[in-house]
Amino acid sequence: MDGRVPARAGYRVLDAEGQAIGRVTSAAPSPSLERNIGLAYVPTGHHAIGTPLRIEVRGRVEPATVVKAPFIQPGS
Amino acid sequence: MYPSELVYTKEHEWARREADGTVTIGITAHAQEALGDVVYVELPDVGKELEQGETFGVVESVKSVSDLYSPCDGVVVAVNEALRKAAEKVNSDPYGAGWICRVKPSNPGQLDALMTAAAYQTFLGEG
Repeated sequence: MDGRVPARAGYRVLDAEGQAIGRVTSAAPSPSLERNIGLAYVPTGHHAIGTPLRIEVRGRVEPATVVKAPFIQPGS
Repeated sequence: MYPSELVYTKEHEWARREADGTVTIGITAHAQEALGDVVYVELPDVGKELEQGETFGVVESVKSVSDLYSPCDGVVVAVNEALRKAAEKVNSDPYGAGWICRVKPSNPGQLDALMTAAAYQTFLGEG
């Protein structure tokens, strides 16, 4: 998540044009990263690192970006 | 832990009658402890009309997301802007700097039906 509002499991994932394309499977604020992180199913084509997405949070649309897993590099 | 000058709801909000007739609303020490570290508070808009029991905002913690329920009917006259940058005040000072919003009640008598501190502690099983 790019913003301060955490996503939660079940929230809808939209593409940059606002079309619903997938769902969050799990998400939470990360105290270590001080960022809101999560996992979601999206169709092939929306999965590349850096792809901008939107997540619907209580009727509002919050920006998110596909990032490389794991969120925390082991040993870092 | 539960100041005696406040009244309490079953949804773990507290309400305080201010001298100017408004009511300040927040969540209880029990609520903030159960939620864990609060990371984000979705505040209502000033001017929003609330009904008792209606959802008026959301508290997001590291563990979960929880709705806020209005303790009375009224209009939102102020929100705690400081929480936008420092939501953790809800944990550190739930009855002070962690207040959530202030409402002008349209039916102040509703507050009389809420729980006293002693009743709330009994409700929690800490009585």
